[in-house]
Amino acid sequence: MKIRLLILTIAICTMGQSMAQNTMLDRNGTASFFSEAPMEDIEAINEKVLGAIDLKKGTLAVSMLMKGFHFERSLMEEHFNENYLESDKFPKATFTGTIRDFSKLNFLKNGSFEAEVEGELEIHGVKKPLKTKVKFDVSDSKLKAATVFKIEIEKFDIEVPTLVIKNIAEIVEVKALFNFSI
Amino acid sequence: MIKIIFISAVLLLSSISLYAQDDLLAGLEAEQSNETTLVDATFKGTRLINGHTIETRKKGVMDFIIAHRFGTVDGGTYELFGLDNATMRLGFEYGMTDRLYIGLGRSSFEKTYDGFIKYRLIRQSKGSESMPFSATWLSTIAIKTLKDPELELEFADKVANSHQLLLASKLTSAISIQLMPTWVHRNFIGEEDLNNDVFALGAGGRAKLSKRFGLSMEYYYQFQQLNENTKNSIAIGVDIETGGHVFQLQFTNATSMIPKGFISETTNDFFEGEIHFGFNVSRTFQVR
Repeated sequence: MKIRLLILTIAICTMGQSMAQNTMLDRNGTASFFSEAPMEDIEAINEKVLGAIDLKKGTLAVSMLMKGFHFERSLMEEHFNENYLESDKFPKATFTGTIRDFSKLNFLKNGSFEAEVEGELEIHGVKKPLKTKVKFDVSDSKLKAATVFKIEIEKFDIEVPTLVIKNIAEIVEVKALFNFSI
Repeated sequence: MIKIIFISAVLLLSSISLYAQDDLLAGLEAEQSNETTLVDATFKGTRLINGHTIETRKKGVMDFIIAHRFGTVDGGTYELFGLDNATMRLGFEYGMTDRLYIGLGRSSFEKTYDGFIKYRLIRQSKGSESMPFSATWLSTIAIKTLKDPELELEFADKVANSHQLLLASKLTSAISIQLMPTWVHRNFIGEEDLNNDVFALGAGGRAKLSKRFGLSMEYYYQFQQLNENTKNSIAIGVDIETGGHVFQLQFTNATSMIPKGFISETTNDFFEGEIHFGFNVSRTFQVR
């Protein structure tokens, strides 16, 4: 009786795990952004972005620490965290979304294709809808995903004082790249 | 039996949490919450007011600091509240690494040259390897070159050193506090002076009122004084940050802007109105 109960529980648990195997993960995804303004160009890259894709449901999730972004100039990095993104208050940026027309796509066959992903992007504690084209690349048991999109920083309540308005672009280009594996 | 049920229950619960990864994001966030991150910008700049903060500039960054202290405000309108007189210090500082910071300066007060070496021993961090405070070591040397016609001084006699252990904690994003145990040593002291060594404990902090504006305070209590005339230095000020500049405006009873001076040679009485208005302007450049 005891043993049976234990086996049953373990069975249920492993079922849970096998379900989780539909999920592919990337712990070292990259996200970068580029701001082009009259006074200076600012570029930063985060190479520790977490990404997950559920190949049963066609859902995606991304989470990154704002302090994971590194800049060429260290003072920019400090200002980014202290003055603009308030990383103490809002330590992360996240994205959750679904792949459109997921049922028509084949993620098991080698090859590359584009798909539209629609979801919600949260930066600086502000959630905004985001629709972007993602290029997927399937090769053996690996899945690459790459996307580029633009965001208006004002929409995320990121204030830019007039004094530095020529240093920071209003629209910032964001790139993300993932190499998912099981 | 109860044990087995308990184990089963725990296993079931843990499997439920696996199901919860259905919510992909929750799973990812759980994984991320443990990452260690350094606490940045405990203070806006490398100076609290007169003295240093635990902060150093990062590798390859040069900081150029111009500081002024005007005459005392009790001079009234005749002296335009002290603005007729000013002493100044120019300083060049450079981050050798993210932890090691060096600087050179020249003060017009007593024509003093100074140099310092600063090293970040411990850095405050959050996450799995959290550390509640930062510690920075600061050693300075000051060489007074003002000529004294009555004294024939050797080079070593003109030298004073100071050593400080700076301990700070960023309590919230707005409030940071700092403690500064200090030892000042002089090779040569005057006839009316009592001690070659001065021991002091400083305390201070800042409160940010907005992202770019803050109030700061700094006080040094002397346990053993240079002579009977010295007072403990007090300073209150505001920090204003604009891009690569940090402006600090302050009221203080200290004239000197280097540790051996303002900590152990301050003779003005803050509460008698012998207060200097002054400012520090810091401009950083990424050299490498």
